[in-house]
Amino acid sequence: MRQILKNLNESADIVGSMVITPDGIMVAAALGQGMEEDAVAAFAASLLVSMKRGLAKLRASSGLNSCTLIGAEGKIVFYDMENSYLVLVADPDTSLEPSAAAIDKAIYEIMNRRVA
Amino acid sequence: MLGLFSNPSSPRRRKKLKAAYDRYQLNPGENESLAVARNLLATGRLDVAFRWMRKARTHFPGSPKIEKLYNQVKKLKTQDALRTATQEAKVKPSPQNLVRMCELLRMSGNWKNAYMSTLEAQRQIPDNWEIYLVLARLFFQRFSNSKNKKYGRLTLAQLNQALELNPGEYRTLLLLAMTHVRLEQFEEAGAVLRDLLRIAPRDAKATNLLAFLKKTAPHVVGSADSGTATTSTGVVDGNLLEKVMTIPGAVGAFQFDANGEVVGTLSRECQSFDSSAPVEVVESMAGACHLDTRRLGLGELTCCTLRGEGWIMGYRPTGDGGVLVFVEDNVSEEQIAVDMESALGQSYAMA
Repeated sequence: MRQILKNLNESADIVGSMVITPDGIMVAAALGQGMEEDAVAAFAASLLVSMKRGLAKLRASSGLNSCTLIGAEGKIVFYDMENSYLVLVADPDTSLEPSAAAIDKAIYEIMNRRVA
Repeated sequence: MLGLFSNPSSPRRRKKLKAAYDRYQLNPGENESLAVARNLLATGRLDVAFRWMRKARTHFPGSPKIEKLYNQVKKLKTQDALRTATQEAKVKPSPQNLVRMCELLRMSGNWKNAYMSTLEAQRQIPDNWEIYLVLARLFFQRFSNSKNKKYGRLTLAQLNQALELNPGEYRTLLLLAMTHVRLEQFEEAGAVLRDLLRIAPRDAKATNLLAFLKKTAPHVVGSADSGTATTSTGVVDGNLLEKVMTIPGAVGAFQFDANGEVVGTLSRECQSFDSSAPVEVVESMAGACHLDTRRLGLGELTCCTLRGEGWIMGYRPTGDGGVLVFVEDNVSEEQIAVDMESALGQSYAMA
């Protein structure tokens, strides 16, 4: 799985990527230097739980597919993969739209790998 | 992202699905996209097929073949949702499950079945305002189709019951105002609009209805207008929310002050979220965005977006608080960020 993430890092314009479980456990990571994988996984899971809880109270018509946080110093995107999340880290001004195909491919490979 | 291959129904179908997806990867054309969707349906993955077709609509806008299959999948999804809701209501007849089942029955178009089921649900949860609203909508449907005023009066009766149980509820008031207008009870419509505009001062539907009343019955408009002018929901900058609501597909907007508290809201009726949910919910979500952006080492939050099927929620801090918008559309995260920036920029430029 780490290789899939490494390939994604190379093909998409991102700084790093990782896969986490909904309860904040890191499954695989290819993050850039200076990022604490376990801390990112834990905070990310905490955020996603808050968002999901909020959406349930708002009676959102469907569940959360993706979440993007942009800060002054970086951008982080979470993609729901049913029982795990793909987390991408990028520079704040980076557009991920041109990398959509590479991201879809990585998600497909991760999910396909899991059921194989 | 779409979960194409998890839990397929059989290895043979899984193989066919994979082959279709591989063909699509090689040549992402209209027919290849349709083939993936059909194979997804064959494996029983209705939700994924629906998501796939939503995506296909954005890739091939205006394609009759894509549109046709999309409508078929959407219909299947409604039927599927209805089956699930019916089952859930059977196993656990909670007010929420019963209301959802009745509302889906109403939306499915089988009026008689919906009416009978809603009556039965009302027997089980007699003090639930939402059941009265579903009944009102059913009668309103019939009123609209038949023009028979009897159904209009039945609509009013249900709505008044709903308001007794939950006074000042937006959707109930809006339908009440519409029903009065259709029944040509303009005085009553004006009075309801006055209440409605207290809750949502710049709501597009209420404003349109008021404009209609201005033309049709100018003598009642003064009272409704004066109600708007003298009431406040604490909106510190109505213009800001109004601008945010011009974002295509926007159905709800929330304005926050510097302490992260909601100081103004604007919403219109929609299927994507419940605009009557307590504001503490969005306050908590916005607070989590700020906190976790810092904790994740990203610095101060500049934008947060959440996406689900058919909706996207965007939150942006402003100099003195923040704005959150709920959009029913398939726009990208980046587009919603741009739209919000543009709407907020316009608002500040006008201030």
